[in-house]
Amino acid sequence: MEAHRTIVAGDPLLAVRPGVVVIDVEALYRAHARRLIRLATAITLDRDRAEEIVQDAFAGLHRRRESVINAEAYLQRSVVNLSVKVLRRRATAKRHALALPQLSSFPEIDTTWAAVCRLPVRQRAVVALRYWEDLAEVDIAEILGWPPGTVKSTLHRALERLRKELAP
Amino acid sequence: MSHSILDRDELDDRLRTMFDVVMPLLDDAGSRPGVRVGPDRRRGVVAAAAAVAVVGAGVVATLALRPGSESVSHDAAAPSSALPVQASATTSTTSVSGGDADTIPLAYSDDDSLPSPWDAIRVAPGTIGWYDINVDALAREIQSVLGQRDAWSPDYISRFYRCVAWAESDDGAPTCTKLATGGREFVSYGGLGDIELGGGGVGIGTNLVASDPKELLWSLGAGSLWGYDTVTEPPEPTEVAIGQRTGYQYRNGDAAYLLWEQEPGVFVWLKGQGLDDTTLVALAESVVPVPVPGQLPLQLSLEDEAGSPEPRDDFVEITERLVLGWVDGRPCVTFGASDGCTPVGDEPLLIVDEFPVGDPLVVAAIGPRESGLTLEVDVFDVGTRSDVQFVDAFGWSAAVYRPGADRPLAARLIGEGGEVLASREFTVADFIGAWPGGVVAEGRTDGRAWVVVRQDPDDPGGAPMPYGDGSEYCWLLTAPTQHAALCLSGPAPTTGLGTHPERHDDLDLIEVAADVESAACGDIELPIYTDEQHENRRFIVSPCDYGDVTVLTG
Repeated sequence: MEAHRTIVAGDPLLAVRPGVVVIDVEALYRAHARRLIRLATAITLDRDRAEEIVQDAFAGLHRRRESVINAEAYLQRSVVNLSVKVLRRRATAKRHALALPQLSSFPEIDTTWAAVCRLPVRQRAVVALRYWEDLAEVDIAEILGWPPGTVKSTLHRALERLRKELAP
Repeated sequence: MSHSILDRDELDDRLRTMFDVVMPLLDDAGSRPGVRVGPDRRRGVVAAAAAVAVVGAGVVATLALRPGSESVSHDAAAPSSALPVQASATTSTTSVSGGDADTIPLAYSDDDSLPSPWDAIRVAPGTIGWYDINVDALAREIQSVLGQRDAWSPDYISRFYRCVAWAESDDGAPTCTKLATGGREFVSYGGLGDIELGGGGVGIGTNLVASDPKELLWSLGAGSLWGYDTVTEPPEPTEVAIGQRTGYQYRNGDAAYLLWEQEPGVFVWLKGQGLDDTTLVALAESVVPVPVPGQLPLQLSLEDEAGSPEPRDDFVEITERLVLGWVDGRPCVTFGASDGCTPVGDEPLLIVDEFPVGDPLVVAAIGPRESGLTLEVDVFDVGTRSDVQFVDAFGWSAAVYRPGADRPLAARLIGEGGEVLASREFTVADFIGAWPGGVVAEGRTDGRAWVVVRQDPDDPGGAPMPYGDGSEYCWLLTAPTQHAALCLSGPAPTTGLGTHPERHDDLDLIEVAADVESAACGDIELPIYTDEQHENRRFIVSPCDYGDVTVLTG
C-alpha cells in the first residue's frame, strides 16, 4: 500500500520515504490523554473544555493517521493550538485560578499556581510548555509557530511578572 | 550576593515544583468543585522527575510524572467511539543496523502497583543514604505530618534517591555506589512531645553531594529564615557541638537551621520552628541512618557537564533524549518516551529520534566500546560533519549528533574499515512531522533549499499556523532550518505585496498580487510561484525582510 504521496525527487529535502506506519490511536490515547488534558487544562483553565480539546486532537490524528509521522508531537501541537484558539475565541478568558482546594495547605504552591493562572493565555502556554513540558525556547517556538525571539520575550515578560507577584 | 525579588533559579525551581504538584490535581479539577483529589504519585517511566517540594515552612513530598515520561493510563477514559483501534503501533524511534533491529517492548504503566519496564538498579552494600531522627532514642512522642504513609519504607524512599556514581558489574549492568537525595527535604514532624510546632515542625534532610557546610546552610536557610531581600550576604553561622561533631546554626527568632557533617561527605540538617537550641542538638545527636534500598526502581543519572546530578529514571541518559537502559537484563537504547527499546548487542546501531517536530533531529550510533565506528551526518550547505559527541557508557560507545540549527539531511554509520553499516536520509516530512497535502513549489533562494507545501487548515496538529484561525488555506514553507506557515484568510491582495507569516529565520513567504510582474531582494530576482490548485494565488520566497522586497507592478 502506498499511503504517502510521492514528492518530487531531486532534492535531499524531497527524498521519498518508503513504508507506512499505521498509528495505534487507542494506545496513544491511553498513553497520553491524561498528560494532554492536564496541559490543556493548564492553558485553558477549563477542565471540561480541555477534554474536548484533547478529543479533537485525537480525532484529528485519527483522520490523518496514515500521514502523521510523529504522533506524539502532532498531539502536543494540536492541544496547544486548539487551547490557544479556544481562548482567542472566548470573549473573556478566565483569569482566576482554577480552584484546587487540596492545595490550600501548601500556600507557596497555591500562590504560584494562582499567579500562573493570572497570566495572559499566551504567557501561560509558554510557561506551561517551558516548566511542565520541559521544552527549550526554540522547541516552544516550533510548536507555537512563533519566532524564537517572540517566545523568549513572552517568557521573559511572564517570568518578570511572576517574580514580582511572588516576591516574598 | 544580592537577591532582588526571586532570582531566576529560584523561580524556575518554584515553577517546576508547582507544576509537578498541580498538574496531577488538574485531573479532577474545575468541573466538579469541592472534589478532593489525592496526590497522584505515579511512577515515571522515562525521564521521570521526583520532586520534593518545599512548601512554605512546611514540607510535602510528592512525585509527579513529567511529560515525555507519560505512561499508559489504564484508568483513563476510553477513547471516543470515533477513534477505532488500529492493529499496529507506532514508535518514535527508528533504528537501522545490519543485525536485528527489533525493539524490546516497554510495558509502560502509571499504576504504582505495576513494575517499571526498566530493570532496577542495584545499590552496592554500605552505600549511604538518608538520616532520620531516632524517635526511640529521644523517648518522646513525635508525630509525622505524613500521616498514614510509612515515610521511610524502602519502596517509597527509593524514589527519592538518584544514583550519581556506579561501578560496572560482571554482567555489564551498573551497580550504584553513590547516591544523592532527590530533593532538599524529605520529611517533617508536626509535633514533638507537648510542643506544638505549628505549620513548620521539624524538618530533616540529608545532602550527599555538597562540599561546603556553610554554603549549604546558607542555601537552605537564607530564604526561609530571613527572605532574600532582607539578608543578602551569608551571615557567619554559630558553631554548635553535636556530640564529637561541629555543627553550624542559623537562628532567627523561633526559626532555626542546624547542619553538620555526619560522615565525610554526608551533611545532615535540621530545621525547627519553636525549638530551643538544646532540643535541636538533642534531635541532631539522635539521628540514625535510614536503610538504603537494595535497588532503585528509579533515578539513575549521569552527571551533567556542570557536575550537577539530575533526577532521571533507571537508565543512563546519554544526551537529553537518548537513553541507555536495561530491560530483562538486556541493554538497550531508545529516545525518550518510546514504545520500545532497541537492544544493543554486537552489531552497531544507527538510531534516529524520529520526527520530533519542534526538536532537532538527533542521530546516534551505538556500538561496542572501541568498535571504531564513525557517525557521519550530512548537513545542508555545510557538508558532512562528524564532530559528534562520543560517550562511553557501560561497555558501549555512543556517538551522538545533536544539531542546533543545522538539521541533518542524511546520516551514515561507518565501520572501522570504512564500510557503510547503515544509512538514513531525511525528508521534508521529517521537518514538518507529517507528509504534506501536496507540494506547491520547491526551489532555492539565495542558496537555501526550500519547499512550499499545502496544509489543511483544519488540521489542529499541522505545522504551526500562527495566522490559521479561520483561514481557508495554508502554504507551509519548510527548509532545513525553519518552517513558517502562510494561511490565506481573505481574498488575494489587489496590488503589490500581500500578507506574509511572521519571519522565522532566513526566508520569508510572501503572497503577491496578480499585478506583480517581478519581485526582487536587492539584486536578487525572486521568482513568482503560482498555486494553480488554489485560485492561482501567487507568492514569493524572499531572503529579504518584507519591507526590503521591491516589486514591479503592471
